[in-house]
Amino acid sequence: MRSFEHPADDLSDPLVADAFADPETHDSALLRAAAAGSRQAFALLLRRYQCAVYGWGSHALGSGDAAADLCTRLTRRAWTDAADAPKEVSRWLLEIAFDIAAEMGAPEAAGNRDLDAVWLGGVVREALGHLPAADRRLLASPEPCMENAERARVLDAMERLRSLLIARGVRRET
Amino acid sequence: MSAHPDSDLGVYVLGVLPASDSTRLRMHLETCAACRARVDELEGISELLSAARLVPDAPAGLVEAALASLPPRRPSGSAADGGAAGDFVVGPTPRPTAPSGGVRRRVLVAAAATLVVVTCAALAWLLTSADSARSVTLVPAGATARGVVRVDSDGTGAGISLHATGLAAGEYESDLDGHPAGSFYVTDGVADVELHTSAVSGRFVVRHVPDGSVVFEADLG
Repeated sequence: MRSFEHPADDLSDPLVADAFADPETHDSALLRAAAAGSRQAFALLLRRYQCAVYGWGSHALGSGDAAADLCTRLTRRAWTDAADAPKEVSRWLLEIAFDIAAEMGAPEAAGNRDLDAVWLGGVVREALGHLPAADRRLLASPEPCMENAERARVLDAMERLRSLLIARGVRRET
Repeated sequence: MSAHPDSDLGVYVLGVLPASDSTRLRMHLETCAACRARVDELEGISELLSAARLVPDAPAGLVEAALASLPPRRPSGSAADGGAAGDFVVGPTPRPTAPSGGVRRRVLVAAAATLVVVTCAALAWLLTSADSARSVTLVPAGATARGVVRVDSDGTGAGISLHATGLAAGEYESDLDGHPAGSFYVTDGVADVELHTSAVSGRFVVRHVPDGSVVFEADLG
């Protein structure tokens, strides 16, 4: 038997650690590693969606406690099902959330477009966390009459956010 | 047409470009399709920023607590299945012994390579044996592109799932040990493609067709 292995969970290897921790590592790469048994990859993937899961759960189920319960259940189910997951991670996790919400007495949450927007907002919120604080402030409360350098920085921050969102499978629907 | 007002586009879509600059920019947009496309793209980001304001912060440690309770799970293609345990596996699928019933068992091994390199890729292969996995150290050489491959080979060919980010736009072609594995086109920096070749092992290469540069290179055994 010949096989070549690079244990992804050996985060003492800076190359592996960097590949996993890079916020622009695509969801599907993390999912593949998670499906192959990497807890670190799975953890990074779930951290990407914790704002989405919690925010969505809070709106869908009406309380933070229920949202936390949803998050725990979703984490377990996603870990179990990772090997069979489709490539689109965000949608996959949202559909798991639909199922769990139904089990928790909120079947109407599935297909609620307002809640879909909350989910998306959670994904964006997490991505924003990877920007420098100054850039987050610029995007959160931009001010008129910015100097050219600041205007360029706003643009750079938006482009960086776009790259992060592409890595999370978010593309603008046209 | 006036020069592209690149630095103004972000603040314009966020609605904070001063009125005089906005007027000038709108006049430019009337005649510049490239900037209109850019504004359209940035407006998508602006809308997403609004969506983010709908969401509360998750409590600290929420995911960590859930992760701590996870049961162990054997990877698909684990040693028990005749494959290699762990992930970020680079290489051909091991050939399983056919079951006595004559039914051929296909073994899937999760496979991946990262940070495979352009100019001075150096792969340090460590010890391997017939029944042990081989570790690979991948040495980057300044490439911005990153990629992961998963290889499933059955002795008559190999299917290669390639996921890569940070790619320049344009056409790419690939081969395994000189055998064509397929081409694909990248527009937004991301490639997520399924390739296939008649080879089962050797050096896997992805080239950017417009300039002929090697973007990824990995020895798949």
